[in-house]
Amino acid sequence: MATFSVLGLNSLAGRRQIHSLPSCPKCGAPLVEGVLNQPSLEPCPGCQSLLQVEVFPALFRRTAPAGSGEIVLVDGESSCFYHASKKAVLACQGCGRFVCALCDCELNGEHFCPACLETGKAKGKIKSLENRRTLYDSIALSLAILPLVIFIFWFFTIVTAPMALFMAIRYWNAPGSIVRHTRIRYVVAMIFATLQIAGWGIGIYFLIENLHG
Amino acid sequence: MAEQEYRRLTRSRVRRKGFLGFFTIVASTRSSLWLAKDHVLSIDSRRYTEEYKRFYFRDIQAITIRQTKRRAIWNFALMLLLVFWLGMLVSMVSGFESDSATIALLCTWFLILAVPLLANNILGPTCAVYLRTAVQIEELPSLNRVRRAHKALARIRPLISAAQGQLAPEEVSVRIREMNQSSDASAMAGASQNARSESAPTVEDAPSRIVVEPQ
Ligand SMILES: [Zn+2]
Ligand SMILES: [Zn+2]
Ligand SMILES: [Zn+2]
Repeated sequence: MATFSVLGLNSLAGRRQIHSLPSCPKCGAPLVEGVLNQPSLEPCPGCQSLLQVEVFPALFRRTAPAGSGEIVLVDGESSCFYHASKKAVLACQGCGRFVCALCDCELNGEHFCPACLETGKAKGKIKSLENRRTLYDSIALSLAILPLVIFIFWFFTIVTAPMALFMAIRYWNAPGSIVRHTRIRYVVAMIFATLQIAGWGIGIYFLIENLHG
Repeated sequence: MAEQEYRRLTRSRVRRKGFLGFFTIVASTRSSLWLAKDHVLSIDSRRYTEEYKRFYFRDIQAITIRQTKRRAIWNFALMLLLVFWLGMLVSMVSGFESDSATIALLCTWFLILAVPLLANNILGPTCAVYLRTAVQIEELPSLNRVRRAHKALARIRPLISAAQGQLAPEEVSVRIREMNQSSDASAMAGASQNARSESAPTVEDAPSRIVVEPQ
């Protein structure tokens, strides 16, 4: 079970920055009006490095007090599935369980409970939660091509070619790069792997023929 | 499954890891930026994996461009090499053993060194860019030249404004002064906040977004 935490909560360095003024990335001097939102680079008042700092309204956003979840006051009031003593504020859109303000995780306007967030991530269903992907198409392509390029390893192809073919078929429908939507690497890997396997087949066939003849 | 649309914002650049970054190009992490409708996606690609970080337009607090000395350092190094080769070339030509093949080779090398020197200056001043949200400050290594950073900023700025609204220049100075005055008070409050955050995860600073930490 993964632990849930607000981004950066566990890093003290991250926390210290939160309410501070924007500062110079080199010398750490706090930056005042003269440097902020200027059309060109201006010298830092601390170290004279040329800086251009653009600030946005989010910097001044007053943060709401801790949403710790309201306590159930009236008997029979619906409570959170995970915290029996906390008042439910809405139902999870994944499983319908009632959750309190503390358990409610908003994601692109949808609300999920911690458990749904966890399973959604595990299945890769909630895309905006994904933070890592393996590029199986690049692996397949490397397996098919690299032993040929580094030609002294050509005999490895008896192993790598079937592996490349297997990977291309096995992961054909697996999500690849989040920004690249082509299967061309799989196709190229399959063509090269098939040719290599055919080559080995023909080679072995002739070898056996010669031994018999 | 409908894939989310990403438009490329920057080409990928090596994420610098100290000075050694230059020598570890083969095993390096490359970083690039992409635009979606509500966030900037930063991709760190190693050869066979991609790691993603999302910066939602509504959460971006500040973008800082800092001019660096990287261009000057490269200029110095390339110039030094060029002078060295020039010296070799001159001594070859003036020497009695000047054979045209060697001179051709040295001329080629001269050009090989001159082209990056020229490019280094055409591309303009180098910089480091930092993006700040309520909870993190991230360097964006793919924005490594001031001109490129300005172009990217020009594309992001309207998207952030659309999500957050715009700040009038005089409003900025008023708010900054407010912040400056309250920073002493909040420094004291900060200690108690830290103590509380260890007992229960609260959603106080981060704009209602919770992440699942990888194990
Ligand atoms: Zn400074
Ligand atoms: Zn749920
Ligand atoms: Zn709860």
